[in-house]
Amino acid sequence: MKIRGGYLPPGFPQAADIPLHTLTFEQRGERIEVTVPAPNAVQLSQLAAYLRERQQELLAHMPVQTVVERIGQAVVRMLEQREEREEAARCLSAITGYARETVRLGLIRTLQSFRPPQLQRFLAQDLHNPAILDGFVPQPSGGWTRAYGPELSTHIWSGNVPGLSAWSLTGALLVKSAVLGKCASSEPYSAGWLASGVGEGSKELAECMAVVWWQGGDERAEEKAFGASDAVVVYGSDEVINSVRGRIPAGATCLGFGHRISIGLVGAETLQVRQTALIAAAAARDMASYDQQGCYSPQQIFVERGGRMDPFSFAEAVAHELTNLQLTHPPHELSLAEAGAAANYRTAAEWSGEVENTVWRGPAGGWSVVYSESAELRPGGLNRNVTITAVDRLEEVPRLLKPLRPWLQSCGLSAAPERLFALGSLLGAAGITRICALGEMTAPEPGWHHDGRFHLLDLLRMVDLDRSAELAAEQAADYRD
Amino acid sequence: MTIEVHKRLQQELVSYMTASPEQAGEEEFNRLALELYRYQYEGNAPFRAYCRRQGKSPRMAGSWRDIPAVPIQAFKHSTLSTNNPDQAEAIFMTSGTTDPQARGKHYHPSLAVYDLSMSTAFRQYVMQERSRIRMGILFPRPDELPNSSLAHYLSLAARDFGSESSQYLIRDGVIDLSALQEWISEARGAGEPVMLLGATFSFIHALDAAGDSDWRLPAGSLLLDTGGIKGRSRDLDPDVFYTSLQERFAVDRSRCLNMYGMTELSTQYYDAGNAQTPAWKSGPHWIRPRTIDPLTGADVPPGQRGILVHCDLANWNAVTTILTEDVAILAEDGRHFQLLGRAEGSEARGCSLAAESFRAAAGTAR
Repeated sequence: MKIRGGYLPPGFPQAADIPLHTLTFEQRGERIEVTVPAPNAVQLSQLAAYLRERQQELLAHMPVQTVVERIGQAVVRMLEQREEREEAARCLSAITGYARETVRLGLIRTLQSFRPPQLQRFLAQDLHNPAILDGFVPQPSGGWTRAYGPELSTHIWSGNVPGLSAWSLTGALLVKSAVLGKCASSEPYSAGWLASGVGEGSKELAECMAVVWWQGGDERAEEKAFGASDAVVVYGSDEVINSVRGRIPAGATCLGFGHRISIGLVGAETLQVRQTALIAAAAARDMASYDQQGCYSPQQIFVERGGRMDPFSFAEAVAHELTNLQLTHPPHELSLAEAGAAANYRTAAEWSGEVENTVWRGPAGGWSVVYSESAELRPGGLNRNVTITAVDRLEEVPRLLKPLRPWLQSCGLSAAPERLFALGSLLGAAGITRICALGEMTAPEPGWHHDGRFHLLDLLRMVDLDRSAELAAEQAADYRD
Repeated sequence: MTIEVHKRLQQELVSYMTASPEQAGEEEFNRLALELYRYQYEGNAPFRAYCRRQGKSPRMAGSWRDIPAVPIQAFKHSTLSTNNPDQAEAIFMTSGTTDPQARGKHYHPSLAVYDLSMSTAFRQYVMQERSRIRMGILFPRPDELPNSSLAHYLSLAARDFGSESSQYLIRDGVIDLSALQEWISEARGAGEPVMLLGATFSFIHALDAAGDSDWRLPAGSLLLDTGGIKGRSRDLDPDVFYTSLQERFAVDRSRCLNMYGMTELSTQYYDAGNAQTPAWKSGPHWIRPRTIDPLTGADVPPGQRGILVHCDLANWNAVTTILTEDVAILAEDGRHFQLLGRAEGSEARGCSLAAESFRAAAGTAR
């Protein structure tokens, strides 16, 4: 199967000259080729200049509420166009190997986050008064302030979790920035699909987005892209982010989203006989969804002793549910390196420690659960490999997390209401930036603070018009006394 | 395990190893492998526990392929020794580049079998017709690195196959460039072929330090590197590496041999030069390679990429069969393989931090 990826603004005059690059994927014997526009450095410069011009002409003066309507209505239409959406899910499943059902539901949930009310929530999350994006708004302390987004932002997307690009793409559009995106080599389809969908809903926005491909780290290409941008948003490893950060021109903003690790916490009080199976199933869903490739996917779950059901039974229940999920939501085909890492994780668990760990393995090595009685860090080997660790008290977990602090992200928490906020504070202090229910880990809410950051605010430049300027202007009024 | 069994096994092993490859048949290899499996299963508690966890025992094994392959990580966490580890003549340890806290340990109650394995294969694969050659060694001596199997290996090479004028060219852990230059000049003066041996990274350091030195070796000389490129020096494409060696030392790539060995093994594999990379490697008749799918443990057919497993009869005290982290392709004959590199821990495809990156990052932070 051959499909087109990427996106170019319809009015870009040199569009026909841009060469196409083909990325090939093979999963479960199915081969899929994705062709993406791959501009050279000169063409990239032309494209960036074009996007900047269109932004000034079409987007810079568009009221933010109009932007919300245009994006939101386009997204609603994408939700309504069932056949197109299913086709996109089919392509994405073929590219990534993730189960079709996982991708289908993932796309729906992602799109749901960008309908008009949810976009309003995005704005409200970061801005007291979104009109600040349209003109000067009065400040309670006196004076006026207006916010400007980047005229052009470059987005380096990476990783194969579909829909990840939607967050930074819409965030940038909301602050009226044109978007030059580099799609991920491991999943070059969804970003272009989203851009096309948004573009179909608005002639203006259509001209302010491009999704292309170049070899990540290609310094000549990136020099052109970064040089023309006021902001660069980069997803990837710490190494990639540091490399990009060092090449951003002075005065431009760089936002980096690195690889993260997430965990689960289960309180003894929630381990009632019937509840245990439900919580375990929720945790297993969080693992199976995107095969633990998301920054929000749990790699280790700490379970408190002393409940009606013990941590071992919880681990057993997770293993049971993973067996079911292997049939209903089969994992992607692992590369030799991935399989090796998973095997290493399992054998290391079997061979280390004074106390013998219990290891459950799925058929054909499709998943594993390592149950450990010793309270130590042992993040899973990705691809449905999780450690379940028994602890005496959940409150001791934040101390264990210390070595992971720079990389922590989400915590799926199952605990009684009276513990929620106290545990939340401990986890927050330890470096966790998002606490949610187990079962919801891979579906962050609209307006979440990704890695503890602001989606919009971090892109904005605030311009103050001081009260002194206002007073001075009064002196120049011809109607003054 | 009685001393008698132990002695009998050793004798049988020695006679198998010293037999010619034609005489040493597949059947006898199998018999010895299974005998050692029983010996190790009974005398080596962590190995026995591992087999039981896998639901395997010597009684169920009909072929050396049925012996559970022990992952090399296990050498870090467990004492894999059938005999009392406190009485070992030598303990070889892995370098522990990723985690210095955890070094794999290989206990050798006696080095007799190890030494026999080394010298027999070295004669067959490296020396061939020659009996002795002037050696230059780019690696520290065993007294400086008592737990290094490579230091021991190279000292054996020098002892058994080096001429009197052989010499170590490393001082205090760094290459002694003036000694190297002198050794080369003397070799050129003598006009006889020589052999330069050492760790791959030592060769890379030497190449980096060469400047405009004239290091051309006499015609017929050999180079032997081992250990691979990653980790201890700058990364170099193998093709670039061997071409650089050829140019610097005037030794044709077909005479640049690479030895593949591991601390966890007692036998080494060799190629017949690196005119092309990756070269095919093979070992003496008492070691057998396999390639498997790491998740299922099933054999991967020849010609396809798999993770390397070795069954080394000379590993009579630890475990004969080990699971490496190396990716390889097995030849149709089942005896040769092409090494394709290490199965690096999986870099996340998504945005989830892989445990290995975390360990690496936490390691640098320490």
